[in-house]
Amino acid sequence: MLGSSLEEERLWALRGIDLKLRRGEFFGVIGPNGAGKTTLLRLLSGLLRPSEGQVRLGAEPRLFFHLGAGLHSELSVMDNIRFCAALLGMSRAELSRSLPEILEFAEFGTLTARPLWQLSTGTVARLPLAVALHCRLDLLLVDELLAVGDLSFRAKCLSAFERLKREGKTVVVVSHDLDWVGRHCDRALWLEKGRAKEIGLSSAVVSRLLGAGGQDQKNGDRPHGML
Amino acid sequence: MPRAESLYRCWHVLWELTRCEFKLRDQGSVFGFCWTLLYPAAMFASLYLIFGGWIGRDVPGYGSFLLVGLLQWNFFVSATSNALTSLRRKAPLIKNFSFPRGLIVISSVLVVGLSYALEMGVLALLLVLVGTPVTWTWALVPALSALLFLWALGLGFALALLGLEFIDTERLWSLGTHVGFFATPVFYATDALPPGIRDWLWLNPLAQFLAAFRACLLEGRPPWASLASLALWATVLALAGGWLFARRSPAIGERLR
Repeated sequence: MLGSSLEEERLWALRGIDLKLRRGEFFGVIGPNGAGKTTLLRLLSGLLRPSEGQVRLGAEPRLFFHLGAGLHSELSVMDNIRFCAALLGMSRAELSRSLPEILEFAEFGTLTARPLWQLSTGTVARLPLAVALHCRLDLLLVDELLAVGDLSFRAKCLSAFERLKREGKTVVVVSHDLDWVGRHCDRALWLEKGRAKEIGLSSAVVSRLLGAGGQDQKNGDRPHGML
Repeated sequence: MPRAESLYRCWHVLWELTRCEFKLRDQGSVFGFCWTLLYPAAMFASLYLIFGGWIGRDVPGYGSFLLVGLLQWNFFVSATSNALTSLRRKAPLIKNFSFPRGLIVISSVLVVGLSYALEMGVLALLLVLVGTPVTWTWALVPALSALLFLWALGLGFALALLGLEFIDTERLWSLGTHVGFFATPVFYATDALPPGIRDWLWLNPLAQFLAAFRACLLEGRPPWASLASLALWATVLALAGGWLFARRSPAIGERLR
């Protein structure tokens, strides 16, 4: 009795997902909060193992990012860049070579000696992504980072993602910005309550979600086109 | 990834983890790095004031005796306690980056080890200042310290896993080390104990460590027998802890809340 009632209450973050990512693809994951988007990214990155089923990954190295990705707010921008670069498998020599580009990409300018807590959330969010984009990588998994960037940073990210795509790398982006996903991603997955509602061309998936009243369910305070 | 590149990457991550944690330890505190020396100095002063004229009366050079024991004990407790909480403290890193999880535990012990190395340097200076003869057996001290490090690391691996599974481990370990302080000859000599208790005390590996450190630094006597048994203890414990940790490592991300 107890067992069966526990079984009924068991919460699956993701269930019955059958997904194949293509090399060089720009893939969007959309859906309301709690749909399992971040869990999917963690599974793809190898940080989590599925309780059932399997994840097969040919890509190595693969990187996963979301806000506040283990940075130290008390330490300086430069300390955090060095820390991030080490965690992402960048050698000291590689970092020295890429440092001017990283600083320029993230628009840190003269802020390198400042502790992170003195900077805005948007500025801090640029740091790991700026380092990651200058690493050797096959698969980049980005979780809602774009939500905090300003327009110029988003444009920079987009051109960096396009470059990765041209180089045959795969980029998976979780975003609540449906317009952005519809316009820039090749394909998209619409997740809801841990299940795949639809997988297909991003513009078609986004239209279906909007058609289902996606923009006003659960997130009524977001602007049009945002989930 | 080729083996050399993989090893370099591990070393690089370990270095950065340790460097950042070391910098963060005293960040924002008024005395900053001085805390590394202030804490053992304050503990030494209070224990010396309380026990110097009583238990310490029969121990020649009680101040040096106490200080040598205290530094090893402090390192052991701080290193293991730091390792115990390390995985929880570094949860955001574990959830975001893919790297060998064992490096977190190693760095948590290493960061305490850096303070310990500084304290041992100051201890050596103090011993010279109070007229302790510098003998060749002092050269054995780094080897003993390395064994103590390995011993703490082996336990640290097991404690980190336990701390992740059971939140009570932190309090239990804190209680255990408080009791352990009295069950380890830090501020008393084993000769002062009744023979029945003295025999049991040698089952405590830390008692052996303390005796070996004191033999090297204060008595100029090489503790060959205990050095061999401590080397065996430390190696077995570090290997067992590392093996256990490696087995449980893939599940760590799922255990973090």
